[in-house]
Amino acid sequence: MTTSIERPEVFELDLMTGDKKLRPMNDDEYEQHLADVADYAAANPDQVGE
Amino acid sequence: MPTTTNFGWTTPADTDLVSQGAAAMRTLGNGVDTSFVKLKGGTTGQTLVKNSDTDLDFTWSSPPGTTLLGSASLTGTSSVNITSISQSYTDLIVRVYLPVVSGAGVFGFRLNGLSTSNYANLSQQVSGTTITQTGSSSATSHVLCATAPTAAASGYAEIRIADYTTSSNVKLIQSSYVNNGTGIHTTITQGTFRGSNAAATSITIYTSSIFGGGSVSVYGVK
Repeated sequence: MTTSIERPEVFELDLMTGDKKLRPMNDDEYEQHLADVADYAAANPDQVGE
Repeated sequence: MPTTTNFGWTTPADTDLVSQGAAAMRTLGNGVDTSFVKLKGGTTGQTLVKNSDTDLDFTWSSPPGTTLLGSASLTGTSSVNITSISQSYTDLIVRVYLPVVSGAGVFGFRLNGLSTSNYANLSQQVSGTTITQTGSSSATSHVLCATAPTAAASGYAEIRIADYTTSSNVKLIQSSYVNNGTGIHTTITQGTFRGSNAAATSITIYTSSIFGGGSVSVYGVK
């Protein structure tokens, strides 16, 4: 179910330096994202595939 | 030598010689100068407050209030990671304006990038006249809304993290979310963040889908 999910982007804001950047999720973040997607799908089976 | 009534500054006596007048004025001036030295300094916006019960013991202080630390757009991302949060405040307030999720997904946040059972929370969600209550003592995030908004609908979320700089205790988190569009609902969540009791230095606003709109602002509270 999760294999077709495109790797999303993360917006980073460093409050110390003011630096802002948009970057792809790293492996750990992507793994967490897939887990969040799976959790949501499990809790909302009627919305899977939307 | 005579002195003034209130501050005890030395003044010349009536019988002193006129030739000593310059020295007498200098002595008086120096006395005043010393007494009011604590009025010097300060920066724009600061106020003068008493530092102790002692006369003329003042200090310049920033008034209590809320300071905007930074803002970011949510649009086009699945998460916004705000790092290097100043540790100079007592509480942290995070406001999310008009959050929109493209597709269906959960809407929440994590502190310090931690997800493994670091959160405990109790949520009450009102949708129409239906009230749903959920809770967990080992959640992987603090959920702002279990079913995130899929259209711009005057949605708004506010998170307050108390005593976020402490490294000796869990942090109390209160959040509320309202969506004034289709399927009007409000979610109120009380929770805690354990995270090895470390100070909160970063916050990640996330969805399990993609944000189609919205922005987030972080405020420090003294």
